[in-house]
Amino acid sequence: MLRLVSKLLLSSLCSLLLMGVLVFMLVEKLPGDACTALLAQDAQPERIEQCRKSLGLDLPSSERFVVWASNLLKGDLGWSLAKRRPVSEIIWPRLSNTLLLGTLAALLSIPLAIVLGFLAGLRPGRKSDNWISLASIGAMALPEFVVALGPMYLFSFATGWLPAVSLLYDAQPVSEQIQYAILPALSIALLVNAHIMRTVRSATIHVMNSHYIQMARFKGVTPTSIVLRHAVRPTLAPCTGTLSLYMAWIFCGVVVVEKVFNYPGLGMLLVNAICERDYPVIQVTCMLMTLICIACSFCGDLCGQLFDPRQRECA
Amino acid sequence: MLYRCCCLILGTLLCLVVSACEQRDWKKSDRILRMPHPLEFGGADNLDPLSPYRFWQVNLMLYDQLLRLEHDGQISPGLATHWSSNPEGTVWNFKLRQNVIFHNRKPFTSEDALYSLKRVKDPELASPASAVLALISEIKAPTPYTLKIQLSSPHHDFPLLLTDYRIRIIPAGSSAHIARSGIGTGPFQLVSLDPEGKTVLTAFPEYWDGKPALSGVELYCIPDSQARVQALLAGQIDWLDAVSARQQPLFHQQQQLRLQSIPCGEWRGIIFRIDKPPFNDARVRQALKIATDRLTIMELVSGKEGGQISCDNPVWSGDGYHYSSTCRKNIQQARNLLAEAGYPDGIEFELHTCDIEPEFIPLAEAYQQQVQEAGVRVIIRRIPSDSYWQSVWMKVPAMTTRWGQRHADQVLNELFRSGAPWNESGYRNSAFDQLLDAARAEADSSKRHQLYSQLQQILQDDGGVYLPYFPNYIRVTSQQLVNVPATETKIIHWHRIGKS
Repeated sequence: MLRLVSKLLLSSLCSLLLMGVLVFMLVEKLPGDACTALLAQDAQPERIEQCRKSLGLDLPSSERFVVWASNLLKGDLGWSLAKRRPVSEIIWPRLSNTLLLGTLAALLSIPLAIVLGFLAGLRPGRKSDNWISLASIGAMALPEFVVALGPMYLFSFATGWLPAVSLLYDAQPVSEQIQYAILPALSIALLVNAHIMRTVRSATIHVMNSHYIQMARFKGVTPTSIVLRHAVRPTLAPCTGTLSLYMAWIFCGVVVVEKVFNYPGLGMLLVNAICERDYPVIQVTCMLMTLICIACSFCGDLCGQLFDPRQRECA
Repeated sequence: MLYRCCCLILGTLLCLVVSACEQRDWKKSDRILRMPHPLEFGGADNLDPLSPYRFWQVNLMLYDQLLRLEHDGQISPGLATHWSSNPEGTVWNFKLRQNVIFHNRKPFTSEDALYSLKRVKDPELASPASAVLALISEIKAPTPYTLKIQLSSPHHDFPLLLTDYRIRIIPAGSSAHIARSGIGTGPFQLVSLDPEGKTVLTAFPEYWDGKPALSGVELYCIPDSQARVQALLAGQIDWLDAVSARQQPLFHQQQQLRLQSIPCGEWRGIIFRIDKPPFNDARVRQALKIATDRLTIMELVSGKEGGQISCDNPVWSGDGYHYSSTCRKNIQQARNLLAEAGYPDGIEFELHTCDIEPEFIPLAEAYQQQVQEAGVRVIIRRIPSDSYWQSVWMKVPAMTTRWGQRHADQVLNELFRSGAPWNESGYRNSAFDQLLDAARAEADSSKRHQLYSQLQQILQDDGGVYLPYFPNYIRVTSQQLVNVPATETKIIHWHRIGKS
């Protein structure tokens, strides 16, 4: 176990380092910089020069990278070129918004997906399975922005129960933040549900057709006991990897949903920072997202080993 | 077990929805105006009215101007009550309003006006507004309520320059902190500034023109234009500016909303660089202009009655110096002009555009189809929007452009005077420049009008700008708002707007 954790930590560090260099190089390749993006039609040569000097963009890119990386090692995340504020001031509220949204989405989607996946997998080919499969394939086939508009229409325009777009700000009470997070979380849940449900359904069908389940049936074990005592753990073990991937997506890959609902999460921050060529924000956001993905993957591996002893032996 | 799990999940979901619905503070019925803003400067937005990153939507409510521009193009008193010049138009005297106080209760005097105007020309500030007041050579404050401005060259319409929306009055010596404090003499004062979240203003009860009818204003950051529409339709905000022609039909059936289609001087157009072939020949430029039906282009891009037709004249019809003319599609004449210029088989050129403005690409496509008949083959080159202003604009022979409303003197000087920094068509005409100087120096207003008309006629015949129409400014507001004038947002008297 200790060996696994140390291996994971080492590979995470390498990933972070690689990500830092890669993102910096890619941003450098983009046309324009923070000054041309901000000044737009006011971008006359002398104004651009003045702006570049004030932001330190007149220095060679390698020098800028070294300064940024050494500051990062000291715990200084840098200074946003577009917002003229420390990156730490910008990133933490966005991270907390993303964590709130992701947690809510995970709470709404994962338990429901597992339960529905089981229901469908226990009776393959029956009416309940057909309906659940049809709904999940439909949700998987639809683009994210279309899925997002459904809850918005139902809960906001038709009933007026919830706000259509998020109007979040600093120092807002959590109870208010939750009301703005519900619709985006519900949309993410609808999207993720379908994928997880399909995985759980396949795993359930596979487990329920295995020899030891058949043996349990022959021995007269009750159906409930078969499911709860003999099928749940082996079914969830192969699903943990998929679940960890979707958890990472919930936290880092929901930029379309964030845009539709005007939700100020990490995804929107990254997209805007790319448009503004705000490379300190881009780098920190990318590294944070890498960290989240690594953490999700780690949790997935750990849960997999808890459910399946064979994985422990392999590790 | 499964049944219990399902119940638990559904119960949690229900509790969340119910608790959220209990809040329901997105539909309050108070006297607060809720507006969105698109976060134009990505979070660097600040309250310095002269900053390149000015949060202008808020600045309009926090600060006053010396003189105000009205919708009919006339000037009305702001913090200056009277103004006059010497016969040559080189020295201007302003009498300032008394008993005006700033939000920090400091009285307004000529020292504040002097400080604010001098600041416009500060090279360190690099304000885009500095070009507007470039002709000021000296400013003095002889008494606490008078101001004297000396110009380097005569300008009988100088007060018009002071109506620029960026030139606003701040307290003397406040340069270091004005970007965050927002202290002005305007109808609303700052409570909290958060460009990326919610910015809150409250009514300033001692406003010199009367107590504002609203109790406050809240500005929410909604960068996405579609999300702004959704927020308005859901009743979360009361106001939406700059609605596009494509979004307009969404509001037609909404009883709780009011749509205003306001004629204004904003425009989108196509620039032909006159220093680059084939556009260096006036006959080619003329042919490219007369080969189109402007009404059809307007209907295609901005819808029926979506604006006012223009014959490549950047001075809009609401301006006091507007020169009215007609221009009809004439394919045969366009072909003849091209043949005379040495292009009997027509011409082919690349038109560079991008999607920064929703109208750019439809305008380029409509133009491409229209001029085809005259033997003009337009190849549309779509450029990534994030490098458009830097790599394409003013650099390639043909491109799309956009401009906000400017009065005649400003638009003609900033965009068409030889060597002006924003002279995007590269227009160089010494006779035009002399006429511009003559117009500024002319004391007689009717003669001045004639001179400005000549200038507009020159641009129509010889200029490198194709300007088919001025699109109307579309605003949608809640029916609860009262006294919302049908004017451009930058010239609204905010303290008169109320909420029922």
